[in-house]
Amino acid sequence: MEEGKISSFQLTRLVMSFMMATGLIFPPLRGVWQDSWLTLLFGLAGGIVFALIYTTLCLRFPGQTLIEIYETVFGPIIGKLFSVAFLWYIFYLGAQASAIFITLLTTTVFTMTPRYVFSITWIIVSVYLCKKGIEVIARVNEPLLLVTVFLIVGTLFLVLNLFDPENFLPLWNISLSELLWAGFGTITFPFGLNIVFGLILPFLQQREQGRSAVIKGLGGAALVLLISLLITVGVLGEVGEIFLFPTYQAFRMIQIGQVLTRLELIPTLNFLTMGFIKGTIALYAVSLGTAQLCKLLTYRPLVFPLGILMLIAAHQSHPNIGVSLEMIERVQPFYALPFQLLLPLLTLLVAVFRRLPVKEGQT
Amino acid sequence: MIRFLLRKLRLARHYKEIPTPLADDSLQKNIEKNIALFRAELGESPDIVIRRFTLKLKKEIKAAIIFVEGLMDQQVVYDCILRPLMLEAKKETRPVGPDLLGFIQENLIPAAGLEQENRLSPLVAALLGGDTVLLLEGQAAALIINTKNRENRASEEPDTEVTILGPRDGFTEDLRTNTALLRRKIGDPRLVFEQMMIGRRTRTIVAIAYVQGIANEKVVEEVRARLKRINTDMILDANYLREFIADAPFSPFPTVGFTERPDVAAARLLEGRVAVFTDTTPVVNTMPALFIEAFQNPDDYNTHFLYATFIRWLRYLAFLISFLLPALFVALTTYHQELIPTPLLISMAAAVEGTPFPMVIEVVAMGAIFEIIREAGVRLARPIGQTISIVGALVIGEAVVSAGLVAAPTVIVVALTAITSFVVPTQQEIGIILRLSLAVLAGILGAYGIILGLLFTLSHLASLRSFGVPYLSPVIPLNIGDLKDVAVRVPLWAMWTRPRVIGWHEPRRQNFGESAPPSSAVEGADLPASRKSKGNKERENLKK
Repeated sequence: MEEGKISSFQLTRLVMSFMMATGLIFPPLRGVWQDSWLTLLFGLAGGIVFALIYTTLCLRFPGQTLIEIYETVFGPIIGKLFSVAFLWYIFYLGAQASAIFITLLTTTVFTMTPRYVFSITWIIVSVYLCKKGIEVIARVNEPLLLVTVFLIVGTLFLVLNLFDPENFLPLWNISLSELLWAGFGTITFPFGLNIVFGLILPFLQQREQGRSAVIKGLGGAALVLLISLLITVGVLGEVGEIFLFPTYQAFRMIQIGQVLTRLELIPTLNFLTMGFIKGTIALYAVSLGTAQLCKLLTYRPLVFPLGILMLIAAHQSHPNIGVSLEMIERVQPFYALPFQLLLPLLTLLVAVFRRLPVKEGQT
Repeated sequence: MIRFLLRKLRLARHYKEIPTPLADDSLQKNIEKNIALFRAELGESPDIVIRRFTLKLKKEIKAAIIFVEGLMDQQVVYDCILRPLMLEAKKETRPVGPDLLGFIQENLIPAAGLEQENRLSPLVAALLGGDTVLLLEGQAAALIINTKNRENRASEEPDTEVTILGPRDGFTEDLRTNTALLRRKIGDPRLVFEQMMIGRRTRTIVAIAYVQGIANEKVVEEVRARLKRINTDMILDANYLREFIADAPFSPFPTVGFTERPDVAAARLLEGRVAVFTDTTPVVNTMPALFIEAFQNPDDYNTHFLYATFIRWLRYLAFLISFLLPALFVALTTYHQELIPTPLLISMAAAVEGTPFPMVIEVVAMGAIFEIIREAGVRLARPIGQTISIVGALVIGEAVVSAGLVAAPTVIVVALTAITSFVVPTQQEIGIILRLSLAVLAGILGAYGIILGLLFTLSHLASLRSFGVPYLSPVIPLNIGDLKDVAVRVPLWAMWTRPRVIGWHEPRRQNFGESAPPSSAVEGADLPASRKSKGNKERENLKK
């Protein structure tokens, strides 16, 4: 199925990219502007809890992906039903990632170019990378993530002349219900998305380090997102809430001398590479899961057709920016919860109850 | 797609039986019959000389030597074969036993290499390799006497890899000279050469070289297996082998390294690589190959390490410029003018004003013209080649701008690209492909096109392996320890380990800190006791 192996550090970086990608351009800011750092920490805590559940599951069934685990625990019919629903969710995630980034491009830089031009070229490269396997995806991710982190940290220094700490005041200006609702949203998007790695954990060289690698990745992503929030809120202030892409807007404000001005294109393209990695991981996970579901020998023939389907789904489910926002803010928390939390939790409980996996020697 | 076509081709290919040598081609006792056998095998070519004479020991014996004129050394044939057998054998008093050939081999012929053989095909092979064959009446075997002519052009610095400081020798067309050059660099007795013959008709001798204990046995075995798998009729140059054994035959990136310099080959062998020498060519293949090799010039190790690091960074920058600048220029001027600082934008707009073509066409066309000028300059005789360059560069570049056909910034960009592309010569071929395709992508999709092109290239590069080693290592996957010879060039005494991905069998070059130079000018003034004693010991050793 997949011959490649990745190291735990590579997995950490994959998790980081996956979590950061959409979080960078749709930061968890809406409604909680200067307290967003709080919701971010809230989301991180929730994401770690989610991660603990499915990594426990993966450690309990070493060498099996979530798809195989569902089938072991629930039997072939119910297990397959759950798997199909789960795969649909990941498929949707990939479509969402590409749709959001293409929307970013078409609304800011390339306003006259049709969306299909971007999505088709995107999918071609994504399919090419996906067919090379998880090892190559992890390797490609390394320099891209490094450049992104470097750019964001560097930008912190470039915006020092615009940065106003008073933009964060007053602290704690938020009611508990607001915090809970916003935090809940941050848990499911982006931190809960790491359930995807339940399909990738078995390809780790040091299997027992999988859990710590995922949690480190979540922490790293939260740190980078925190810095980007600092930049966005500190530079834009309360008025930033009217922008669709606040991070983009914050980068746009950079003004140093006559030379370093209007640099927004560079971070945009950089976030684009993160989105590309995210979409590719999702496409890979869907192809791999489908191949395991149908007991195929290899996932590679599935990549191209699934990629085309993903492209169509991206256009169908995210026709414009309004739908994407509505989806992320109101629908996603409830829509994603079963796949991120309930299904793994249920599987874990049933597995404990049924005393699975059956060890050798027991009958 | 390409694989599919190849499969079709394979089906359509006509197999023709390759004539196999006769099962029984042993020599006979009659010398005339043996000579006839050789004649039948070699034909009547005038360069094949059969010299008959009579050997006078106790009784007279008919004898003959066969050699190929030009391949053998006249002096050796005279001194080691004809003189002893025709003149000095008469004075021989020792008893000749029943084994006449053995007696001659042991007592009469003073040549360095001697061998008995009774089958025709190895005899013919040796003959065509420059050896001389001695036939005797009444013997069903022959002697192969090593008379190979080692005359060759002198070893001189290769034009392709020039250094400012450092040794001036280079490999030549002769295999033995090349192996000797390498032996002179590496005194270690564990430097091993393994020879084989590849090419049914060219019968080219190929030698695998590696240092036992440092090189990975599995890589050596893989090289051996891949070379043995080659079944073709001609190997004329090192690149013939390279294309047969490369990991990614369709990739434009070279996954087998090559060099013409003995010092480079020696350094690579001592890092744990394997070298493959090919007779009749001065180019030596080395494997596994890394992408980063192209940036490691031998001069880096012959100059001060700070300067070498600086130059290496310049080289990386030049490589980036060489394939990225035209695309960036097209994208910036066509799609993202807001990124250009305003004063620069105004002067550029003034220059571009009035030129008839879109920027992407200008850049691609000027790039193509440059490549044509370069190709013409390389192929022509040297004095004319320079004329072409001057005509092409000055006249066309100047005239095209003043005629208003192409904007002046375009010419600057293309010229800069051209210069930078020569900084990293081994990646030059891939530079051309990347440059043109990225420029076209930038013309279609702007910066998004460039990013997509780069992502595609990165995906391809990250998937490449050369004999099991990731092509982009040690950068991807990252190995911080190995960045000592990639991101910087640390002092040679601080290169404690070989590159991990290649030389992990025997990673240690020298003990940690032991061979560092004394840190104080005053001898041993503030050194810790252990360092002091070691430093002194070294100095004493040096005095001896």
